[in-house]
Amino acid sequence: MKMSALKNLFIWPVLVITGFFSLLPLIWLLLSAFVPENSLALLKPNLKFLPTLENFSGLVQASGRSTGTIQVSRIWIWFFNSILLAVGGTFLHLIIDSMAAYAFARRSFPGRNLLFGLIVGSLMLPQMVTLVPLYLLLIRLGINNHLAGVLLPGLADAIGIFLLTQFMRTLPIDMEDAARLDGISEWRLYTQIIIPLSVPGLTALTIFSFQGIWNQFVLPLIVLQRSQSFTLQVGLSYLSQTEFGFHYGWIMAGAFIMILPVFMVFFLFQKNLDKGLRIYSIHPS
Amino acid sequence: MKLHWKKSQLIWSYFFILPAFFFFIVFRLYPLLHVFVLSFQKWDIQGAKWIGFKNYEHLLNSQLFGMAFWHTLLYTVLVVSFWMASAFGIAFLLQSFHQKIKNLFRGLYYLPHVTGVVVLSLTWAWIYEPQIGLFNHVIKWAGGQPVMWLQDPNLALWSIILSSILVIPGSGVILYSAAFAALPTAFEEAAELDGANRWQKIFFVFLPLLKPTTLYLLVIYTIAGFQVFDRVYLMTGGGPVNATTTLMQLIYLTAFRDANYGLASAQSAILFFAVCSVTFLTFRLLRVDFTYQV
Repeated sequence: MKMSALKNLFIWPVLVITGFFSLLPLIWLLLSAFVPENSLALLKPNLKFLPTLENFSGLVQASGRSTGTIQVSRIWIWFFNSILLAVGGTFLHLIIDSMAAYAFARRSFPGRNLLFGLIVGSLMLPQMVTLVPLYLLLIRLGINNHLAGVLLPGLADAIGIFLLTQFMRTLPIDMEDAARLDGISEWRLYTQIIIPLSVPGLTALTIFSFQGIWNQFVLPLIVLQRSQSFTLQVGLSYLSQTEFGFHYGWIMAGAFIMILPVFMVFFLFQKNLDKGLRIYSIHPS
Repeated sequence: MKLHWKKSQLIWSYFFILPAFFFFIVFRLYPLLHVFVLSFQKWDIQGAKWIGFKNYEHLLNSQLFGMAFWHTLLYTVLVVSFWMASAFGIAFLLQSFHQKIKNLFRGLYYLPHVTGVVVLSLTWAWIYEPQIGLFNHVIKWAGGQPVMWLQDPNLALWSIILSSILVIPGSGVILYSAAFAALPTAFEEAAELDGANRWQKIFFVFLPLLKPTTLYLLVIYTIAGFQVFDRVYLMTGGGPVNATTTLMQLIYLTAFRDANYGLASAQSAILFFAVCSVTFLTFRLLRVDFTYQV
């Protein structure tokens, strides 16, 4: 069979159908978030599509107000918590991972290969099995029920160290030698030479860290028990299982709010993504 | 490699890795070791008591644990095989297209994975909703009987599996595409000269040469499959009547609903050994024993 005929008869349909089903949840989410709930129930092929923000106001009102000095809808508290975790966590990842990656990629010291092997090897371990001891540890540290209890365990970021080490190995070596001859201190060598050269690698890490922290679920679910400290993910799953489980329009409005930040990051940095993905593990779902 | 190091240089090196290793040891290594200790203990109000292998004995005789193990295995085997096949297949089909179309489709397949499992699971629960969900709407409109996707114990696990495999694994498509692009064309040309057809090329040229990518994806997907939790918790909570309880869902309930930390740790330890042995076997079976030069 000719290639072009094969393409039209077989390849295009396969790609379009698999693509459609992959995007189906997102399409359905968008439609449901902006269609009034009572029309969702009567969905017909000839339904007129009138976008509305009804679901959003329903969600904001029904999620209840926060207690304390600032009285706003809990949705915004959760949104703020998620942003705080994702931005703070990403920032700390960049510092901690780039320091370790610099040592692994550019310096030599006894035990380097062994320690790097440990980091890479830990990627092959099922992370979730440590959930119970981790929870007991957080209780002993007194940071269960606190955003710090979600933030700190995430700072052991093997995949980020691995990515940056791979990246920094590709940097030219003469820069460092020249700088050392000039008598620059080791700390300034790292902050003023290595960091600026590593910006592409750090950009990829920013995207993946933000996405990873924003989308994490199990740890915040077990650590955060009070609704004031929920993340958006935990809060929305809580609402979907308890207070308004049957208001799917509201849930989808919440889901829409939930995907906005990661989509913004995704589209802003899309060009760098491909490069990063090749050496970076992705959160499989 | 230098044979001796200057002391000040050494101190700097360890200083740079110190923060990473601090968090690593406290929040990864220590809990990993502690889980085995906990698995020999019983927890109640008075604190921890050593009970030897009792937790493990209990699990061996527990029908629920056996069920959870079976559900996890079934989910992992089906979903991982489908993900591997679809990632390879789609990357293979995309090969012949113009770069722009390739990028478009790769972005399209990756997009759902940006949103995370929580959003996908909540949306799938809504698609499966029995009265006004999308799937039953379409079925009713076509004149069929509505299906109890997540409420029928015989169907619920299959619905969860379906929700996983209908979303093509974007990461795999991207990694396989990159691997295809990096392959030297000499092998394909040689196979064509020898008269190999399309299927022969896939099985005797592409699959062997892409073994490193296959190994990597197989390992990360299998590890993820064994730990499936979010979508179970959000779509069914393990029900109806435990029909969708997976190992992680069971560990979650044992530890955080029943506060039975010892038993949950024993369950975790078994999950740990199951994943490690499967990973080890995968590495042995797919050992990369070639290098090529062009």
